[in-house]
Amino acid sequence: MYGELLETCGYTSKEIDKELPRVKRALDKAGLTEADAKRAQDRLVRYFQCGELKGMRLLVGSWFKEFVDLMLSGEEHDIRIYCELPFLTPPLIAAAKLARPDIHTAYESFYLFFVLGAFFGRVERLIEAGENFCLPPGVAHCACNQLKMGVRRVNFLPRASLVVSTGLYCDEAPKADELLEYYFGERVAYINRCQDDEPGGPLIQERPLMYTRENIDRCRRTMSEVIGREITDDHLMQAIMCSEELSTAIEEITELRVKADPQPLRIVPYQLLVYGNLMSVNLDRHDEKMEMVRVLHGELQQMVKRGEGVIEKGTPKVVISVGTPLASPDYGMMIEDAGLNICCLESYGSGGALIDTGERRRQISAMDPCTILAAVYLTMPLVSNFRVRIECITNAYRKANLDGVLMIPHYSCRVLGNDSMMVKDGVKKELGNIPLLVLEGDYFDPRYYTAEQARTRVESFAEMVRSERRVAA
Amino acid sequence: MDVMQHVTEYLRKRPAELKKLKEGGGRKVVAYLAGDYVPAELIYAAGAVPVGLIHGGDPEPVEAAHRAILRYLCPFARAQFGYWVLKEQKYYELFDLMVAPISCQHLRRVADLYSVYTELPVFRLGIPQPYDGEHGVNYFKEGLVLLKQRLEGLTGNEVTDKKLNEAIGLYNRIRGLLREISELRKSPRPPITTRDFIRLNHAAHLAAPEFVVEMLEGLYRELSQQEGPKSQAPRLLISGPNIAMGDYKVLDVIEESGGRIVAEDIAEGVLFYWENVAVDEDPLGALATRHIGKRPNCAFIRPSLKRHIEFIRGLARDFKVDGIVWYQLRFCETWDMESYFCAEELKKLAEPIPMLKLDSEYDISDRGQLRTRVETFVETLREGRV
Amino acid sequence: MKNERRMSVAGIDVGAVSAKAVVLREDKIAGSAILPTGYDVAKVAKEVGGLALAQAQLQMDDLRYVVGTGYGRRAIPFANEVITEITCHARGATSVIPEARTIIDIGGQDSKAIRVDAKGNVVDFIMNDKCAAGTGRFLEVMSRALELSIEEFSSLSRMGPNPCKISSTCTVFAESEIVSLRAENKSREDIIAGLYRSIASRVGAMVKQIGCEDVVVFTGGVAKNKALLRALEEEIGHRILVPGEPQIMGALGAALIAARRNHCE
Repeated sequence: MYGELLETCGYTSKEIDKELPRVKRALDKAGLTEADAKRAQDRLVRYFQCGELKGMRLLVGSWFKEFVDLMLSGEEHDIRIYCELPFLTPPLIAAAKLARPDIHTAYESFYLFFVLGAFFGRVERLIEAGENFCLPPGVAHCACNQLKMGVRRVNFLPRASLVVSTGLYCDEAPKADELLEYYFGERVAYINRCQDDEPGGPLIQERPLMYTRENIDRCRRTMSEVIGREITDDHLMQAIMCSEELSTAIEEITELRVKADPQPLRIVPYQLLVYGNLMSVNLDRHDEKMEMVRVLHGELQQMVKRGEGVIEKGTPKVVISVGTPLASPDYGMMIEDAGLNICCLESYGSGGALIDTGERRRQISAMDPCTILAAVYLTMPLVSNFRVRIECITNAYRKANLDGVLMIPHYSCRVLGNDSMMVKDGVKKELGNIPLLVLEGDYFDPRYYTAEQARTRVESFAEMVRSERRVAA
Repeated sequence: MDVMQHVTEYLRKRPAELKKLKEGGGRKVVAYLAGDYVPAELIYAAGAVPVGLIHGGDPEPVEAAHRAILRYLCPFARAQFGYWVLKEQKYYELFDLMVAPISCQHLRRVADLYSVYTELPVFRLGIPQPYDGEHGVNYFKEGLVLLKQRLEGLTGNEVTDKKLNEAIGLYNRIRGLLREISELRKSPRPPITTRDFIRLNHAAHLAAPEFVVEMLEGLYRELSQQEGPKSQAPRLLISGPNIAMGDYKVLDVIEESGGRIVAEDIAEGVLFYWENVAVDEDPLGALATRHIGKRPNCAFIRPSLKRHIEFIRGLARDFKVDGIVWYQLRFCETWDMESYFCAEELKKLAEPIPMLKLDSEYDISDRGQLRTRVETFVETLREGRV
Repeated sequence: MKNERRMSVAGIDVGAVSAKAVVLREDKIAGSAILPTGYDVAKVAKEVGGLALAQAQLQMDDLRYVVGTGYGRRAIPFANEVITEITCHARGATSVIPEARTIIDIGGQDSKAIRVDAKGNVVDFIMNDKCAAGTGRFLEVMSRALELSIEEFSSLSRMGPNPCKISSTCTVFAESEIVSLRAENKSREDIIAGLYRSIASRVGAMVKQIGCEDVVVFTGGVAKNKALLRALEEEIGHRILVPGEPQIMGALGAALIAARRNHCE
């Protein structure tokens, strides 16, 4: 029944035979039918290049497998540790699983937005359930929180033994997690941060760093208590090293995408790849993922050699900040169809994780694991402050010789959304009057800010970029 | 009330006075953002003039901020930048340093906007989120040490422990007086309205502390001899993040609709006078303990639900409150989420306390809608009591 | 004769409320037309195109290249290419007023502000298509609420000396606000002045977001409204020019782009 879908997800025939019963149970639990599966298959081929790239099939498969595990975690595990968007230190969770392999760890909301949302197109009802419960429209609540409420409200998933909440970033998420504890009895551990770092100051600032470090350490102790085993520095280091390894491997694809013309890999599958690493809370599949990156890289290199691509040669190149909406893969395709090649992501590659790589890596490698986690994630552009974002975008623009900047701020994000105009002004100050578009959007909820709605603006922007290029040429 | 007139007059002249202090007296003016996080006594002890940026209530400054920020930020925060854009409220231009508590994302944005679009220097004071533990209190104390150094650099004056303890004593006196006046409202015939009481708190953020002490002493003497009008109006507690100076619409509507506010759970009220600073050999430590360790509540702190509800219940009991008006600002995500929790908890009590939830974006136009809601609420309370 | 006829091109702009067509012959305007859009985009595109062609004494076969624009651009069956209305308005307005650097376009259901360079290329733009406040629709609703025809409503002589403050950001609520103001005995003139202030401030806020550079040009059907023009000028503090036929600027721009394509082929 679901055999074709699994093939599209890169499962071998042996795997299909073995896994089919589990997959069926998982999809039934999720309320997904055969028709849904068929649609998902079409979407995977259309938006994620699963028809032509084996590496992509393996990639979507790795997410799909996490989703299946998540749906079945109630029956298969006693202890469940979940984290929710915008959780930022996944090696911490992965380390818990190293300390005690029989627990289940999941980056719940991410799996739901990508698999249930982007693949199946069926995440709306969970968001609505959250909206109807206690996060109504009109207050600009972020959909990731509506999702987590909705999930519990309709008992979509079993309760977690521990929810690790990130306070590293915004106020809405930890407050919603507090409500989880109140309404649903899930225990919550917070990782907090004091955002008093000075924008424009050094990238790594001692005091806020150490404050966060202490919080991460405390959280580690709470997790150890919940799982009944100690999560040691070695576990943490191992998780960090795996993350680093995957990150470095993905770097090669990032570099390839920046230079390749015609572009062989669309932005939406690329984002899936990047987040796959950022959100890795389970090292069981680490080797699989490394293999997947190797295969994908190989295939892309072949395409480049043959001069093949999915976006017309000579298409203007842009950097996107923050990215295209997670659960709406048609959005990214709409942008590409309008005549833009999104070859850079603000936060990853050509800036982003690579700011001052040498110096930053040197500083960081001298630290203990909790400090490393704090340093790595606090210095990510989306997390640190708006000046770092300006620097990343301008670096990307110059280094990759881009033609424009496309900004899609998440309107309900009090952090990113509200930074967007300062970032725009800062970028224009640095680069002059380059083509730059700011499009209010919703990063998670597919219902309101749709591709259709944005189309005219994106097309106008593309026309602007093209004519600008002609002038420059 | 004469004293209120006196205060209004004083405040009207205050910006001009500050200008004179700066130009003639060489004094520095140090502004701070709302929320009761920044110890004004530290600024005072450095010989600078502390000024709270607490204005709000009008839609124009909120609109004016939209050239630099999205709409989805609390109107109070937008207004803090909007006032600078419009150049109407002098307080927003004549300070030499702004101390911005990095508490919630909204105020953090205000600090960023000033850093980016103005030449005015901003000092960021980090507010750790959990209440408990020395870790947060110590972090905050370190921040105060840095602030002290910054102030010393700005003014050229050394902040000795002695000076700081004196300043603490002065501000403790203000807090004590406010508390005494506040408690007069526990009586069945409160001699002062909450609207006026909140205005006193506002004045405490803008006026010279010596003036405030004198004014409050006089007022207390007067009020403790008086009784307010007899009234069957239901007694209300207003709970919210803050009520800006100029944002009196909700207070007025409640009075007009026959409710009587006798207590407030906001930054420009109980949070300020609730706890005094211990006079100690380590004054910075004492300030940190009081401002972070002993803080009653604010919604963005995590966790805060239980603590908040306990605090509200205590106030409601002490002031014999019949109902609670929850007044939050639009797009404040944390207070919105807390409102569901609080409403439910209040219902679960042995003697449930009804709660009305209101929100505002400082629009002129929503007065009619507010009025309808409040009137209905007051009527329900009246029925309930008969 | 035949060659000359084959140099004809057209631009069709199908907006949410009205459809416009411009036919160029040897790069000069030979015919133009405006029709209400209705519900059948393809049909109205053909009709309005037909009317413009008739005026130019030409037929559909004589058109070498057609560019479609506007809300319904993708449904125009005979368009060789589609371009967004932003690029087209920029091109059209600068062809008529070459010094134009900022273009304000208020249509039936949306409003935009466009910055252009000396060559008529779009440099920045901002669009409001989610909210009726600040569009032609707003004016319609308000004129009905005041029981005036749109012409009376647009007349300068109707503007009162003490504009009422209208604070609703929403068209629907503004309508009820007007009802309350009438109940308070405010004069129609003062209400009208207040409404124009309100629209101007909304549009002005949009313009300020991308910056306002002289010369400012006002396009779109609503540009013929002198009262709004005056209110806008006051709000943004710049003189605003209105081309002779502001409503067809989008179609003109589309036709000019068509001409360029034609020359290149």
